[in-house]
Amino acid sequence: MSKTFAVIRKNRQSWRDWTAHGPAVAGGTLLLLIVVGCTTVSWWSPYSSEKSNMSERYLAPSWRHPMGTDGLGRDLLTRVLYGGRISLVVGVLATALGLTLGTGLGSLSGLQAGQVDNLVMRVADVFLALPRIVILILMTVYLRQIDLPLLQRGGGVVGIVLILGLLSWMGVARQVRAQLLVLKEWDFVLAAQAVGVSPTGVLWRHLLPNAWTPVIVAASLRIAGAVMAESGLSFLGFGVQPPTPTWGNILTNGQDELLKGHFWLVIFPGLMIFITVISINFLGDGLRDALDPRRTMGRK
Amino acid sequence: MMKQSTFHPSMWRVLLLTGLALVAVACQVPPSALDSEPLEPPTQIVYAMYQEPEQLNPFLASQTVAGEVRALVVEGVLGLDPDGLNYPELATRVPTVENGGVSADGLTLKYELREDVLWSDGEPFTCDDLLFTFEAAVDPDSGAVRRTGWDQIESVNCTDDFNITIQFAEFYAPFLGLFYAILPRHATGDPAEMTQWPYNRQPVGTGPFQLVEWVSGDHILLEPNPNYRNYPTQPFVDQIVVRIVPSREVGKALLRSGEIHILRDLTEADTPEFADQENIRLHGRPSSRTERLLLNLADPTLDSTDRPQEHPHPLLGDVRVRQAIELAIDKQFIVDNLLYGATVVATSEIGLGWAACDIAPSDYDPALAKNLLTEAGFSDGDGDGIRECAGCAHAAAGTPLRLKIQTTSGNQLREDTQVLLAEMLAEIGVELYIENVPSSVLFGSWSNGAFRKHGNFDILMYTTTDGIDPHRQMASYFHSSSMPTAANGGVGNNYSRWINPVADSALDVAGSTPETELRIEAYQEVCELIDAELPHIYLYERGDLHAALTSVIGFKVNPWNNETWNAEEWSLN
Amino acid sequence: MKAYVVRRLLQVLPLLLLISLLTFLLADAAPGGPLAAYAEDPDLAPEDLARLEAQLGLAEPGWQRYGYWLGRIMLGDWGHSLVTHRPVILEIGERLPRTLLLMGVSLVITLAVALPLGILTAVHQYSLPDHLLTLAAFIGQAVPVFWLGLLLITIFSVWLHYPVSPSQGFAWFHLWDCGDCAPLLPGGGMTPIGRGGLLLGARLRHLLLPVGMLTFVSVGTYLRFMRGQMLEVLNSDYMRTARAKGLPEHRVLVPHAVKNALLPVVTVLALDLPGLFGGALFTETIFSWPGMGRLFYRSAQRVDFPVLMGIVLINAALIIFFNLVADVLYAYLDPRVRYS
Repeated sequence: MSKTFAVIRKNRQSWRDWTAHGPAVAGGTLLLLIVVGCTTVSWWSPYSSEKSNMSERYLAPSWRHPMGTDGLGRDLLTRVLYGGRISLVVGVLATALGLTLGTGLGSLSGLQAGQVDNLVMRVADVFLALPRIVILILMTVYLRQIDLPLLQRGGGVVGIVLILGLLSWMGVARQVRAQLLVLKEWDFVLAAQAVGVSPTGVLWRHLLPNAWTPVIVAASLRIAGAVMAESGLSFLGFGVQPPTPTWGNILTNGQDELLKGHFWLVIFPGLMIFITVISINFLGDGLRDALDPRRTMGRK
Repeated sequence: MMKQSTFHPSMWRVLLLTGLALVAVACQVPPSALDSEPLEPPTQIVYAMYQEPEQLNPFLASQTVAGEVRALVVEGVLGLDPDGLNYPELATRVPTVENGGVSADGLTLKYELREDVLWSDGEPFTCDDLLFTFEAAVDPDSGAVRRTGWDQIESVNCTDDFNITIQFAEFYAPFLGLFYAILPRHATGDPAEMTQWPYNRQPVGTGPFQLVEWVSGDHILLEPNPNYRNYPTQPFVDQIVVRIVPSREVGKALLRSGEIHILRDLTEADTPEFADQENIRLHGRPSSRTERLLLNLADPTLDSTDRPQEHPHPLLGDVRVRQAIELAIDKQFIVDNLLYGATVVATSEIGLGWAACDIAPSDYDPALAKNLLTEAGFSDGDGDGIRECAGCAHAAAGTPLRLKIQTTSGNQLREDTQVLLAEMLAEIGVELYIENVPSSVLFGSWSNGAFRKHGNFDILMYTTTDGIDPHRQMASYFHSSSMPTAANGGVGNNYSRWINPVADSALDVAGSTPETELRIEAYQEVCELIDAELPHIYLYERGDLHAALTSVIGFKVNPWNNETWNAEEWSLN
Repeated sequence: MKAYVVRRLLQVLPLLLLISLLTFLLADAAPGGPLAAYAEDPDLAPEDLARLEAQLGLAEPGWQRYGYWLGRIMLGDWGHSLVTHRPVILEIGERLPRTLLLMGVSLVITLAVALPLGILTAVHQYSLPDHLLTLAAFIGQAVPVFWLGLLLITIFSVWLHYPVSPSQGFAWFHLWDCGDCAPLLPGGGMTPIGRGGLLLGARLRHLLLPVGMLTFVSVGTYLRFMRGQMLEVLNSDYMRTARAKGLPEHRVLVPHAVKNALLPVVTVLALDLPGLFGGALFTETIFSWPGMGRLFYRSAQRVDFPVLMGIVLINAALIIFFNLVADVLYAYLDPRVRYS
């Protein structure tokens, strides 16, 4: 192989690397930007996220208000970034809780075949079959009466995360279990067991990394679901109450505005959720490729 | 090993074909190519509503929308016009003391019925049908929702086929409104099985239309009743389609696309949206609905106390605090900005009609409000902007002036109003925090432990309506016997737990005399007492607001009746 | 295997019983209640409410009502709606076909689009179309449904038109500007009303927007899943071995890989099938499609016990059944999976 050819090859290789990693890198960058924006907004925004300013109602996007203003004259960019604090925390934590519960129960179910497996899966069936709206209404009514400081912390965010997490583990559990049922019969797992690796070791080092592929793909979508579900909870009276903004409630309130010509009230919060979800998706995609022990990226 | 960045031509082909197929499917369905449309399509008015009627029996239904559909088919003895005046429908005239239709004591009522009326199935309409309507309403097993008034009737007598005498045991103020929908004896069934009557979804009436088709959740189709007394002159249209459009936003979009002709029930906040639409007209009229703040005068930690004066609300229990709250609210600002000046500031419970109260709008005077609070023993000791109790009447020293405000969730106009209220009250050192709940929770029943019924709240915000006769509304919201308590099984709407003996006796007078002048005086007195003691703070009047295409002719808003009250006069341009 | 299936089937009844009991308890504790709709009616006297409560059978203690309901359902009597007073079986029976039509057509189109594209994007991983389709899939999943729905109605029903009278002829500019025009696509409903006849073409036109939206938002999930499974298989050892032996990629390997990758997709599909029964609340709301989703929502809001219990019970039965199907399918298709 001549030297020049090797160089060309190398360049082509990095191009492939970039096309493989690019979306993940771009996703990560965007996500970072949003997070930084949300955390620093209170330092640089001249506007309040909650206080009305009726002389500046429904202003279209401009240099002064890059995302326009809402029906009470509040700067939308400021509100969207403040809203991102709650929405991102809720989205990520609720998803994490659902994933943890789902992975835990799914692993339990997949490894401990028999009675345990059956029990866990039937509980999942029951959870899937119960009417979710009714559960949510009930939880919102009764959770509020529980006087636990933990639940009230952060404006009830902990409570919201708990509700959303507890209602979203079933799918993950089924997925993980299904993966494990196959994987645990694989040669490399059997081999590991044969050489005396402990069951937890097998689970952590050999099974979960292989089973996580579909879970991670699903996770990024769940975050968007959780962001929207939070606005549903506000609607039921348990979520974040006005005037505190979240992406969910900004968008929900905005649905009426599209036809009134105040498109920015829908476009921008929708875009934020959308960009976040897509970023996480691409990140998740990259992460999956990186985590998958059977695949080495780009060059084979 | 794997080809990764090169792209196999077959893939483009598949992509292209998929795309082409989709486009082809979309275009291959030319709008009417597959259908043989009739040459002359029927003139059709599509009337859209957000809710579906549960059923159309006037004695079982609780919803406004059921009344809207029912009124196309079913008539009453009298109707109410947009000015709140009775006009004869199935009767020949409106009975009064002067024309001998009503006795001087208001206990005897006589109707003379029209003789030219047929039911839509061709059977003649007679006095016997009124008698049956009465029997059905009072049957203890019928499942009839409301019997108020009917149970005051001592006897109903048909002197002949077209003359009826109704004898009341006690004076019942809104007695002219009782026979607002007449049931046919021959086309219904046993009153004891009323909930199972086929009539409930297939009503037989004397009105301009008859029900042709009801597709659950989608639409109800009505066509002219060939036995209607003005047929074929009226009605003017061939079909009325009542369409269920489950969301207001979608309804507005469909109105713009021309798929529906009339969209009922909009808010003042919707007005600017239609201002520049040439083909859409807004139809509005002031109504008897009033958006208000309902203040809890009793201790909110107690479950439905019947002695609010001994257990007052720690903060709202002092009338000066309530006055300060009203003085701090710039109602006109809310009306001008959030409601685009499309309505007026509300001043009393009865804003419209013959009994309308004459109350001056409250002043906006934050300075006076601050003085009142200071006087009441609330001052900002720790400098956080919120006053605390320091020598106030009912709260422990140091209790901050912090109040919870609750309304139905998902209503942007109300949420925006809350935010403005909170800012206005913050100006005088009162903190208002929001905790909204779904309407089913807010308006829940006593047995379900609804906090409104049980008195576990500070301030509620919602709208209620009184009918053309305000008595039931007034008595149930302001009479001391109407406080929901364990003793009365949670009945009544006096959620403020407001007790005023003078108001009680005025309400008693108003409910027991047929003399209009006396009644007007009594209600005026109650309104003034409310204005002084502020169990409610009235914010703004809600109009009856609907939108229709300009091609619709004859649509006339009627705040006292269903909007379909004159549907026989509707036509399309 | 047989023993396993029998054992699972034996669990169905107790499981349904448990679900019905839990649903009943939840609904019974829910705020509001069936009589909440009457709360604001000043015409309703206290004794009226008490009478209604007794007539609707709400006055008795909960366990008694549950027992009564259970007894009736055993005999095949689903009861009557507390709201409309119609038989539950009629309420559900009326809406089910509409939901099945909407959801079924969407699912078929979704699969027809998603599976081939999933395979192709996997075979050509990291190519431009792969990235574009991945992006499109993500857009479909990330876009808020009611927002998309309103946008579709605005574009296809408010903005775009077609001429009503054929004499006017068809020209492209008529799409957004013409005299006597009707919306290009209906923004809601199932069929034109009051015209009679079968109206097949019109029905199809009414289906286009809701089906289009449902497909757009759900295609991504299947596409991504198919792609992931396909990649898994393509990178598996036996495929490497086959390649090493020199078997040609597109003619031989891909068909084999597709077969293997489809197995998990089938099981996922089985798990999704009960969703066909439940309907899609948001789509049904936006496009005025009176299906199961809205019936369920109404019955939950109004705490209409009999209807709520009916829907939950059927839904639970479907979920349990299709979960079993998925499990069996899984074991059947993948010989390595064993149930003891």
